[in-house]
Amino acid sequence: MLFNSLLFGAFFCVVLTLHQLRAPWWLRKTHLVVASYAFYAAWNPPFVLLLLASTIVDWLVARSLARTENQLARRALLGASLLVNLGLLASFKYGDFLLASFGDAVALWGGQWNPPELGWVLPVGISFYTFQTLSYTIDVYRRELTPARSFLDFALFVGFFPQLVAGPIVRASEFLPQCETPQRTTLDGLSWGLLLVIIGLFQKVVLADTLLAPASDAVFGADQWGVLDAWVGALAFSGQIFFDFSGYSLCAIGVAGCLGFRLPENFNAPYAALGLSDFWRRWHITLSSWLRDYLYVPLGGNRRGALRTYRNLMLTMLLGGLWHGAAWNFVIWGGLHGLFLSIERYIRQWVSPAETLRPALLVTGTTSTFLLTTYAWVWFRAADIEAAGRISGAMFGWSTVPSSLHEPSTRVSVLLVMIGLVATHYLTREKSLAQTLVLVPRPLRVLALSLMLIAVVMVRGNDQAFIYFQF
Amino acid sequence: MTKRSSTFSFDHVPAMRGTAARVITVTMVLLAAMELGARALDYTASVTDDEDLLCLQLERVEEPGSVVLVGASRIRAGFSADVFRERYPGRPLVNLALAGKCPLAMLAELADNDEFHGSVIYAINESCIDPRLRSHQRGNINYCEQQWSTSKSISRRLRLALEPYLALMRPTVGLANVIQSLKEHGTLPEHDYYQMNADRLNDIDFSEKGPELSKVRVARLRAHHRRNKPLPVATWLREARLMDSYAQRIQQRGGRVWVVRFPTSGTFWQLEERAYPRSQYWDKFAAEASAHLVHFADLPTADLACGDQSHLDGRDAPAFTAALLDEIEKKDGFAD
Repeated sequence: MLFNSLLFGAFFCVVLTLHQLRAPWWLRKTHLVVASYAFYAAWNPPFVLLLLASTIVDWLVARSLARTENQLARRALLGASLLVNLGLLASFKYGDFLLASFGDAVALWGGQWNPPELGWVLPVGISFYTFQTLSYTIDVYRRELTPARSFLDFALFVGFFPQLVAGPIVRASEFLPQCETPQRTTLDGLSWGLLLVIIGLFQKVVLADTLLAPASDAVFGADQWGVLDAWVGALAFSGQIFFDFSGYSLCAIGVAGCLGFRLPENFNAPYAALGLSDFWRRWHITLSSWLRDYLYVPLGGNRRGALRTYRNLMLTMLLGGLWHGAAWNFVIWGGLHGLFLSIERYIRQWVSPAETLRPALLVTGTTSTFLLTTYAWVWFRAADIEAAGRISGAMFGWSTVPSSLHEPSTRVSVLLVMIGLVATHYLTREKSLAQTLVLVPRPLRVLALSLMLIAVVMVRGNDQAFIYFQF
Repeated sequence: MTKRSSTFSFDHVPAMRGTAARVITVTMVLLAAMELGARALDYTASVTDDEDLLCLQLERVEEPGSVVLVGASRIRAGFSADVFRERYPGRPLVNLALAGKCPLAMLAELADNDEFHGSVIYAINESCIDPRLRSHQRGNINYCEQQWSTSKSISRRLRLALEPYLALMRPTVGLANVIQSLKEHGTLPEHDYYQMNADRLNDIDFSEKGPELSKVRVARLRAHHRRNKPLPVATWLREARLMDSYAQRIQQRGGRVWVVRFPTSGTFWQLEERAYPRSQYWDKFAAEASAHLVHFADLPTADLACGDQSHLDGRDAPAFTAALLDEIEKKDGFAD
């Protein structure tokens, strides 16, 4: 059930109406859990069992963790949670990849082993809710969090439908307190939530799917590219993935807000980032902060010398890449970010923070960051490593083919959309969306948002899934 | 609870209730104006066909007494649901025809379904009886078998409830189409010359586009015949027997299969007849088939001219359907 479908519109109207009933809070929470499971079942009904299993395991593990002082037992409990959660993730998401990679490794050593093809369907959102449940158990293990008092609250935390399948990745410490007091729809919350949904849908349906996806697909579906083709494709995908995922996050935050719940921000003008570390503070914020807190810091972070810091950065980004998909091109994408982050860290030793605020350096720095991330997206989007390598080559001029994949008007529209996107990010890099919207005179705001909504209705499209659903 | 480091849009909810109310009002007003404008410009509402709509129909084949239409675009243009319903009130009509695709795979699917005991009107033309085209419709069937879900079903029903009433839901007047037309031709998109109903049957009006489309259809058929030489009679009959074996399986369960050659006319029909002369192909098969065969040329409506030489005009479809149903009733009728 996609946010950009009529079905979701009808589903949400029903859920929102029932949420307003004057019923006890536990009953309204039960309704939200049931609605969330129905939402999840809309993709593939049997997979709700997986969601339920993950919820029960971490609920039991966390309660046991809180009760025991024995360090060995605590470690065993944490290990059990990691084994179950990561085991499910590894089996469903990485099973074929691991088997194929093992087969390749055997072949490298002169042996021969044909891996069986599991062909298992990937349960949508498994990467997201696995990270949520893991962070809960780890926080309880670290004694940074007391376990949820009610199973209902915990089930709602894991399965809350607005963010269940593609984030934002919510921490229990942020969500569970909201379950303790009755959350009601307020007129302001409903209004702001609806506006966020309109902006999110516009980003997804009009900008990502209609304007940019065709230009990007034309390049990543081709087998030869001119220099201009490769750049237009890379820029188009850069915009497409931002609008797609940011659009989803805005819809999720808006839908949750309509119900009275608060979800964390996931994007903050990432294409105006000054440096890659700044980029990761602005892009998929809830994932990058998860990786920081549960991977980078436990690995030692930057506390054990320069070399260990670079190693930790690289490992974190490689695993972050792998989280996105079971293929080597995602690993390379993560590796590129790890490399860029390491180089940036090295350079920052010689540049004082004050200097980075000089306008010339700010413009150069943000532009370079944008171009580096755009280049890295090629590895993320391409069908395989070979295609990514060849498109990369074309971007750097190693192509004798004339650029012919796009009409001139397509190139111009991609360029205009991307200039508009980067300029908007640059101008709003220190402001929230609410602060920006408030600055716009109301008549203009109403007109712009109305036109966005009309465009969403009129474009319609074909209910394309969000890119991050596959992760 | 100790940790909390994220920022939240809803920490400081801006006062936007006025904005939201105005946005919804302005949008509703503008959309209503656009709907009226589209209607004033003669754009009409219509159901839009897609894979999900086919799956909705496929769900219904096991309804008792169902009459299932299988074929391609000709049966969708030439069969009138109104005439059928008038004559058989309450009898389920299921339309599994897929435009542009030869239908053998769909017939095989019905033959494989032991729960199907209904009747099939199987529209076929001679060039579709070809071993290379056996699985033309298989992809659509696979979609319904493997990807169809309750949520898709509800979603499609919701759209189906709106499409017949809102011209703006028609892809022709979708924003992307309008922009493309303005960019390429400097005009609004051309009007569609057909309307589709919830049965996936088309009501086509060829009065304006007929002559132009006739040329296109004839040119395409000539090109097709240049690329694909007609099958030798023996090969064709072998393939027709395979088709008949599926019909036999349905009939053995108490069902009926009516194999119907829908009308074509003019040069188009002459070219088809030259490639697959009726006496050497259709009639030979009719002599040995266990299914009931009906050729349009044998019906009282034989001289109906097709609007584009390949499909019946919506105004002629009722007469043809009535003649076809007469013929069916005269022989074995539909299964109960």
